[in-house]
Amino acid sequence: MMPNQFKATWTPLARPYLLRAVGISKSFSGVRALRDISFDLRPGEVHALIGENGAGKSTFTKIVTGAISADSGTLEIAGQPVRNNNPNLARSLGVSVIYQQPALFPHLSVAENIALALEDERASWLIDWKRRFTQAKELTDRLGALIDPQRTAGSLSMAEQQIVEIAKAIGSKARMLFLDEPTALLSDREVDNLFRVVCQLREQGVGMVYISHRLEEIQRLADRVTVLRDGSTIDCRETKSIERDEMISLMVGRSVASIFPKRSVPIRDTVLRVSNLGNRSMGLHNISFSVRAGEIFGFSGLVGSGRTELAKTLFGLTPGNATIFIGGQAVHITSPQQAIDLGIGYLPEDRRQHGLIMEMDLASNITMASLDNVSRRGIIDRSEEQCVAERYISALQVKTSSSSTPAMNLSGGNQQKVALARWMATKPRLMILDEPTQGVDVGSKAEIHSLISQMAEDGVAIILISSELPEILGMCDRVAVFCEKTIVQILDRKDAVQEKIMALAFGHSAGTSKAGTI
Amino acid sequence: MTMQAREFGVLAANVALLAILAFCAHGYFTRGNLFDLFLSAMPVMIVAIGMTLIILAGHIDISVGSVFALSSVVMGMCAASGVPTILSAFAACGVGAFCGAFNGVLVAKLRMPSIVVTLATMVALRDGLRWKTQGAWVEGLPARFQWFGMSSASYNILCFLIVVFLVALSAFGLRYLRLGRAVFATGSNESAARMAGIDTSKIVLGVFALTGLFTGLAAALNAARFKQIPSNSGIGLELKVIAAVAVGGAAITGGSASITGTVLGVVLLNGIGSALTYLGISAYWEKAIQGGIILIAVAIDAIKTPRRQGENAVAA
Ligand SMILES: Nc1ncnc2c1ncn2[C@@H]1O[C@H](COP(=O)(O)OP(=O)(O)OP(=O)(O)O)[C@@H](O)[C@H]1O
Ligand SMILES: [Mg+2]
Repeated sequence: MMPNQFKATWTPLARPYLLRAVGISKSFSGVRALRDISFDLRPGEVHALIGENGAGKSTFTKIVTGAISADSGTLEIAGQPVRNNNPNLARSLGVSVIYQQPALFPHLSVAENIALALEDERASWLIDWKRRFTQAKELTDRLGALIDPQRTAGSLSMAEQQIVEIAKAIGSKARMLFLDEPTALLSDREVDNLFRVVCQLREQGVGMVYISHRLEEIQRLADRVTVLRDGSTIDCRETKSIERDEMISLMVGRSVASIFPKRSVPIRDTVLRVSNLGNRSMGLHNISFSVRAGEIFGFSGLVGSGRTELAKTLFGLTPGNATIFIGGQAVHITSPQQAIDLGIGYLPEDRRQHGLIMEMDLASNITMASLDNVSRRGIIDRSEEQCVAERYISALQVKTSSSSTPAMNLSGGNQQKVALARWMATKPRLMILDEPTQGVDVGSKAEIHSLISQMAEDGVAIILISSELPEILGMCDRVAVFCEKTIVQILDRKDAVQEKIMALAFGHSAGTSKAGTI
Repeated sequence: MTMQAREFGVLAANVALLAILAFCAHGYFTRGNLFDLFLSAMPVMIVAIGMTLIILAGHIDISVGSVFALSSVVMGMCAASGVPTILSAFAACGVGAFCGAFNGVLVAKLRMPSIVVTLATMVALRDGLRWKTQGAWVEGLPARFQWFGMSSASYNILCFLIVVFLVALSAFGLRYLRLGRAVFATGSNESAARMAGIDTSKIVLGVFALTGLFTGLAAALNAARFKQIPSNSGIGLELKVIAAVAVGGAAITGGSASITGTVLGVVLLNGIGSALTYLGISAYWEKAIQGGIILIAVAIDAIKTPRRQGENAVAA
């Protein structure tokens, strides 16, 4: 595959601007999130926006889409100067957006969610259900995802919800599309389908702003790159004229430790053993494996292949029917509480629904699952709590003014770090990490990887679920490949190569790879 | 958080009210009058502490008025049949706690909506009581029933100390106890709280039972003021309580409330009523003015909370 297959074949320079933002600034109660940002977008162009967690990428997106208003600066959308921007105005000027976190109506079906985004409310007072379903099906099929349009959005996995968000945006016939980390939860197949759609849209002259921490995506896809650091524009360059390392040093302002610092640690006793686990409500069947202290055990597979479902079963959220052995002792886990008492930690993939409590401050969020360590006889020692919180805030480089900031004021990547901190603070025997580095910038990612290695060294058994193959390949001692709700094979580190994992994940027996078409 | 701003606003309203009274109503600030005011606000205050916890946990209890009536009558019937007054008061508390726990089990374990559950218990208890007593008051109470056999001054002080103790305990608990933290977490995001190992159904059951207990206690303390007990007390208590909690700044959707706010809300809403009497304004205005205050308080919340269009939740 040519690395440049997704690049525009003609130069978009000749066309007028779709978007021009000059001198945009924004503060949140004294914190400068953006200072004097300038940015432009032309039709048929993919313009990447990169920067560390908290650099201001999502804030800028929200200003253009009218979700929040800028303090100063001028905004010109589709040639029109825009004052007092608001979501309806931005939409009528052709701006569409996929936010960092899916925000669907959980009780409505996929078809309804899509229809709400696309249909004109004046169109008809009679709902054409058949059209709604075919429209939803067409859009999700175009993204190569098998999602039943009748399912309620709340029953979808995070990745599936993200796909529905993307479907909403591409169906809206927008002239300008913001994609705020659309791929953070997607596996390679979905990413490729998304890229194909992005290229079609580019051919049609749609301008796209693409935000991602996966720099190889930027190199594959973007025509130009703008780098933000601490709310300021650092540089704007043609993608061809900038190397990956240079992007990183522009973003971070320093050099970054190598990613995936896998250390070899002695593997000790078996911590978790599962034999022949099944779970009818989750569709899981025939799952057997074991994880030992000091080991990092990867779960790899496509979206919906059963990785998260198994994690939830192990954590007692949807009890399964098999015997699980924790440290040699047979247990039947039926609630998260029991799982925590047994020394299991679970970082869920959905930090907003199941992870953080957004209204609460960072300190309370971090100590939430380990209050035993900071309380005596039910009374919380607040200063001790603060100490613990601040230790993790600095270890994980969370960008915040203090540990008493409510979690909702943090940027997406920083929220992810706080969610991770909560589970690190529980000091578990078995740690299940579901997409631990989603939305985290390159610098912090290396930091998190080394903390994970550190945990393994301290004798924690770790299950790592990740849609990013390089992360799995770089970090894991063994990899379980999932396909259709079961583990099809467990590979040792030396046998775990990309082609083999992909082939297994697609349900081909090892060796006969059709992965070339993906 | 904006909580402090709200508390400050209600405090300012209270101070303004007091200032008006200080100028216009001589005799308002006498010791006797203040204790009268305190005693009439006491049931609302005690129940409102519990209601704050329920609302904080994301639920509501509209059966407190009926539970109050039932507890009062049970206390009276015990005392009239010769049970010592203090034990009768414990019986009232027990009945209250039992009713609260009953609501709590239906809400927490059977996952029924709290407004429906407590609407049902509200109606059932009220009508059951009416049928049982045929509307008759409980009479023939022993002489030592009133004021628990103490002097009226000692009784006043006892009630005052109990209220101060409950307020302090609950404010401390919400800030420093793990249980308090768990109530906040449950009301903010139940599934996230569960994932962090909090037994959310135990918390919900707990706040309902505690509110029932407080309602029983309020009924017992209140009943001891009189020589006979009406079988229809506590009508509309739930509205006064919920209004005070709302004026105090609690988010009716759960996850945000404070004891300080609730106390100030109770004082303000009760203060208005008595102030009108003192200022010689018709009592018919009382409800209208209270309604106005509730609307203003809620409207301020609605205006101050930014509308989250586009992204239907918090910033990411
Ligand atoms: N509602 C808010 N209140 C206070 N501060 C905020 C708010 N929203 C964002 N911020 C701050 O603004 C800064 C920029 O946040 P933004 O979400 O734009 O970052 P980002 O570049 O999208 O990061 P990420 O890669 O983690 O998503 C952060 O420091 C964040 O803490
Ligand atoms: Mg962001």
